[in-house]
Amino acid sequence: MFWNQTHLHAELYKHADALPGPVKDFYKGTRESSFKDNLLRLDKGLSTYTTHQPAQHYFKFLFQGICQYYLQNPSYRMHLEMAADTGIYPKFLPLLIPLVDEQTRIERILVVVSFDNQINSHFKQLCNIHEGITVMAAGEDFEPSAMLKSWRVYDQVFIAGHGEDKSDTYEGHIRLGNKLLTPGMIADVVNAKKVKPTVLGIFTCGETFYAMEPRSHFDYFIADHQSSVPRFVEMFLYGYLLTYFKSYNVLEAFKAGRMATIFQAKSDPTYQIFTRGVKLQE
Amino acid sequence: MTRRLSQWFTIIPPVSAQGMANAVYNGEYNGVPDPIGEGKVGATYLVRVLSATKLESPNPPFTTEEGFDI
Repeated sequence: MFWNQTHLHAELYKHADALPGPVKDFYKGTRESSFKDNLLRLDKGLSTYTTHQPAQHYFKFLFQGICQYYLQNPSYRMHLEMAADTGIYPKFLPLLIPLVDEQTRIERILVVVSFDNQINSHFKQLCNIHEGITVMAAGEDFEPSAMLKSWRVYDQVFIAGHGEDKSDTYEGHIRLGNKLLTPGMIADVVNAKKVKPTVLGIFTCGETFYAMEPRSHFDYFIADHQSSVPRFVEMFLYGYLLTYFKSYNVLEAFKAGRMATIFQAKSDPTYQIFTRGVKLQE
Repeated sequence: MTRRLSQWFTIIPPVSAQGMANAVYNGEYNGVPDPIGEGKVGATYLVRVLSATKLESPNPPFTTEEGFDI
């Protein structure tokens, strides 16, 4: 379903005035509900939304399609095709991908999150996507070093929290509970040749982890670049996890994660994916 | 106040002893648009400078924070 266009978010929000009311309401409701709860509200709002403006008609169908994809409703295709049938904004016309039949594989994904209680509770709902997902909020007793010893039991690990950028005299960190996780701690693990996840994602402000050397030791490494917004990270992980457990394809999941931020992000959040240290996408 | 990276703003000296200063919201940094996009591009806001790279912006219009340690 996903576009290959790099600046899709920004292109779409150039038409912000034409977006239907429920879509604008979604943008305003930043903290009160989880991403999925907001999607359910948006789907309900769009289903009863009426307009006589062609552009708003188009964006109603477009966002219904995207919304229902992330709600795992197969009718997303019908709405995207209805958007296409309006014949306007052809540059936004989506390229449909077939729904992939769910495969039976046993994979485990760990999400460690360290924000305030309200945001953490939104992230915890990600475990409802699939039984293979474990979401852990890092509390006062959380030990990053212990996590690095035991993370081998997971195939993929994602970490999100507040961080500090590197400087000339400091390597930077991400805060997990009361403790800090640094690139050096990850380097120690990979240099010791210990078993590690195949996919690692770290989401925090700055370039501390984005630029770290150990990223080349993972089959896939995902990070955000410079700016990190907890709300967008939740949306990214929702799209990533949902699509991964449909396709078991990291790149498709990554694209779906980026797309999931379109409900609020006014430009592409700068998520990057590397395979063995090589950047795959601008 | 809402914590934002100062890369999205141009701080206008002087900065007071309390860290307060006027800042113009640019809405982008090195050609990368601010994904949050709150605030009006070109408008001047009273902000509190936290460090060389971070500031606190007025709420409203800035309501969505970026995830960094102070």
